[in-house]
Amino acid sequence: MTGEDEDFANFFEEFYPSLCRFLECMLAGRAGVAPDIAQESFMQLYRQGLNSFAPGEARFWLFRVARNFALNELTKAQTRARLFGRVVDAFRGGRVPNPEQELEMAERREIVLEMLKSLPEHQRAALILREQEEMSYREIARVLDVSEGKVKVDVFRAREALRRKWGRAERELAKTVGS
Amino acid sequence: MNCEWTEKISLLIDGELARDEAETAEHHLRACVVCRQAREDFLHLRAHISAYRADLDPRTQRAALAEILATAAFEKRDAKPFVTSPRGARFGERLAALLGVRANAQAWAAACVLIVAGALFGLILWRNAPTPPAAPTIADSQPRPASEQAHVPAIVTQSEQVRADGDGARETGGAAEARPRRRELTKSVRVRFERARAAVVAGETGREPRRAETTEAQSEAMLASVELSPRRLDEGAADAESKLGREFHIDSPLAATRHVEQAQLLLRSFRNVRLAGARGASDLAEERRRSQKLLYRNIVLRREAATKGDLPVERVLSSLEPILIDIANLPDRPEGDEVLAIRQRMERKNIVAMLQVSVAAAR
Repeated sequence: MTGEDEDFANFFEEFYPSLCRFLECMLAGRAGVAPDIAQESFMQLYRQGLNSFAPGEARFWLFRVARNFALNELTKAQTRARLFGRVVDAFRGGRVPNPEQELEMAERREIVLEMLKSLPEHQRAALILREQEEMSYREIARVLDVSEGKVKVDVFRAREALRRKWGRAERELAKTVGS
Repeated sequence: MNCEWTEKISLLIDGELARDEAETAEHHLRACVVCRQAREDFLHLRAHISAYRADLDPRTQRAALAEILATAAFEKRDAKPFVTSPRGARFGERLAALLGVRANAQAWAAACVLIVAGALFGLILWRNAPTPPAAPTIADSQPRPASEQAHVPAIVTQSEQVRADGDGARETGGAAEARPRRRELTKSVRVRFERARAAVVAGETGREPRRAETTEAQSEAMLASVELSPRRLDEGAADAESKLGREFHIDSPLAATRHVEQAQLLLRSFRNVRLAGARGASDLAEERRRSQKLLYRNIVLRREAATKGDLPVERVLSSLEPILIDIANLPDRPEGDEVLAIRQRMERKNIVAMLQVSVAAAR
């Protein structure tokens, strides 16, 4: 492996999980697409050359590209033909977690995805980048290519919408989990 | 039921307020129950959204990285063949390509022998210009002029040495004398090369020479099995062969045949690893490393085969790939069950036999 490939592999290991998480939340309800888009996004990054970015910049670029792919997926403007042949689809599975843990995790995941799905895409993207990636409004604005003012409004509106719609269910779940 | 400050509370929990604004907002919070509830709700939301974990499969992740790097290498390589094998192997392939022989280990090993023979021939010619010497591969079975005796023993010694090194006890004794020497020598050089390559591999990982010897034994086993005609292969192989059909051929023989050979070696080695006893579970590190290396090439070759519409090759490589991924992804100290599960899958797919047939058919 060349030095460049090694840098890329390190970057990949660091950000692949969070990019997948971002994509899963963005594409709530479209199971199995996130890893494909994540892979395609990283491929684009590789072609771009990781070293061509200023320190820290590659991450924003990566999320921007991934979000654009996700938008394509959401609008179905493009088919999956652009995606890579999936290497291990048939061989998924592996370790089985304890059934109770699995159920709890599945419930939590489902609630989060349901919540996010109810938001308009631009609000969803802003909120996910804020809450999961802990990006500042300025950074979110760069990823989404909008103004900071819009990010500020989108994040707040997203929170308000979820609060109104899901606040009660969310509080109940918090109590259940807490008890 | 909102307060005009609620938006500020959203900014506050995001750390987006200037210090004085933040202090004012904190002050307001102490007095406003609506905003306190809003902050609590926002923080609950945050807890849930940030606790979300992607449905990750380490194998998918590893395969994604492997595919990206392999695709990048595939795109970059231009006219250069994609080879990650040790230097000796590349040399062999270049040699084979140079000579235009069909690309498999046997052919280029034969080419090596011919070149060595040619070089020695030239040496003898140079030293004894008027005397036409015999080729070294047959020289020791021919009567030689006295003038040549001084030089030829060195050659004989060398060829004997190669034979003894490579074939060991199997080829000693009177019966072996009756066999055509050229064939023995060719085979021996191949074995020797396999051993050298194994030594290179062992050297890369700082392993003990013992490992190289094991690999040599496996090479022997592989070579012995390759000698069999498809009709004499076991039932599973015959079955796999009938599935693949006689038309099976590999279009990129330089890469594909050698790759399949190496994969076959790896799987045999993996199948034969003992989990208990002197060879601890950690010994699988070597198989894992080799598997990772082969996985890259497998992906490239499979894609190449898919692009060319070469279904038989694609099918073989597609069957091989999950096994390589599984081995490459074994933990540092795999449990016996994990290893057995992979072995069982190999058995079910009859993968070793299928590779064996592929190699035999490609020759």
